[in-house]
Amino acid sequence: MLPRRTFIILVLLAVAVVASVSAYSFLRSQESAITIEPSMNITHYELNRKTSELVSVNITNFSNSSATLVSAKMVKIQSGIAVSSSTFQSPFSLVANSTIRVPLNFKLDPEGADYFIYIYTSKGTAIKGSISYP
Amino acid sequence: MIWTALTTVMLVLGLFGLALTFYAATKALGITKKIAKASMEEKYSLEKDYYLLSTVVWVILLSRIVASGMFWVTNESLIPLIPGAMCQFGVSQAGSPYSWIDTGLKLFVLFAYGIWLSLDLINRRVKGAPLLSTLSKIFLVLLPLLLLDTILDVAFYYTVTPVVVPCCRTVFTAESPIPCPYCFVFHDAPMFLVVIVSYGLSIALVLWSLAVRHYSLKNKELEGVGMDAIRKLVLLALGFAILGTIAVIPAILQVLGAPAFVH
Repeated sequence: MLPRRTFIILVLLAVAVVASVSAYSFLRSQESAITIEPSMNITHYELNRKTSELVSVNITNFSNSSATLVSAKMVKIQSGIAVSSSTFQSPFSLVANSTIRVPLNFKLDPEGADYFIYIYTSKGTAIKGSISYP
Repeated sequence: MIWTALTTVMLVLGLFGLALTFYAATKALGITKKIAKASMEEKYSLEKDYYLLSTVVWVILLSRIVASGMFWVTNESLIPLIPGAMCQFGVSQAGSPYSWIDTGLKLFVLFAYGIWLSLDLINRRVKGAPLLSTLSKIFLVLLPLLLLDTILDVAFYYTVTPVVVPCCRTVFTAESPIPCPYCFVFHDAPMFLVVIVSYGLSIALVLWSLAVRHYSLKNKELEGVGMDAIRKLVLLALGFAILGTIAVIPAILQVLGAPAFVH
């Protein structure tokens, strides 16, 4: 009876380790598979240092084609986890050779961290930027 | 030293543990030396001495187990007080080198201390304290670990100062294959704390049951009580393993996606 229970414990532990490692690897591979828009950049980050918030970002489109921005995600680099994300109720239209302000209101770690910001387009590509806080 | 309620408690627990450890060590040494040649009368007197030693060791080990848990809470509370620290990595940088050795030690002290506690628990339930000599010897074997554990706590919390430190962003960059364990577990995926603690306790209970099994097989008087203890320990271990497995599901969900809100 004793070895069987101990064996079950070891199996449960192995399952948990494999599941956790697989989930994390899947997350990292998903992130590296994102197609980044080469001619669209995040050109300004508006921060509220009192509330430790990323209020908004300015996105500049240097290309001759327009894009529709549908969602945003913020990944904390040190942990590799998406700490905030949002879907825009009314997508933002980014016309060619223009800049728009996208409100985010993402909470930042007041102690400090580095983040990747992904703004997703309707084509499934993303505009990537990074920020170090504070 | 950074004086906060938690660092003070950790310092007091360290000093208290150190003082009691020295007292218990002399008692354990005395019992170990005398027990082999003792007459019946002396054995009875040593048994009484052992009960005092046992009580003191229970206080020491339980206070060290409490300190092991408080270690993480205290370090977390020091983050805003150390410039540049974003997680416990920064706190450990400020208290280096004691903090790093202490962190490593804190991960497995529970396993070692629990062996003595579980063996003493069954020893108390059997007439004549058959493990009296063994437990005194095991305590002496645990002594270096116990001293290192308490001394490192005192050294770390006494020397840690609010110096500017480089934190985990210097080591864990976007290219790192693994995340910063402190940021990951304590800040961004705290459900993993439940998973780690549950599995840690489960493994510890299995190890303790193996120790009880080892001494129960060696000592016929302990067989009945020992087998009963093993059953309870393993059942509890299984319970914690199941709890850990259940907690893995929300922990993985926490990692896979931040709650998206509609803007």
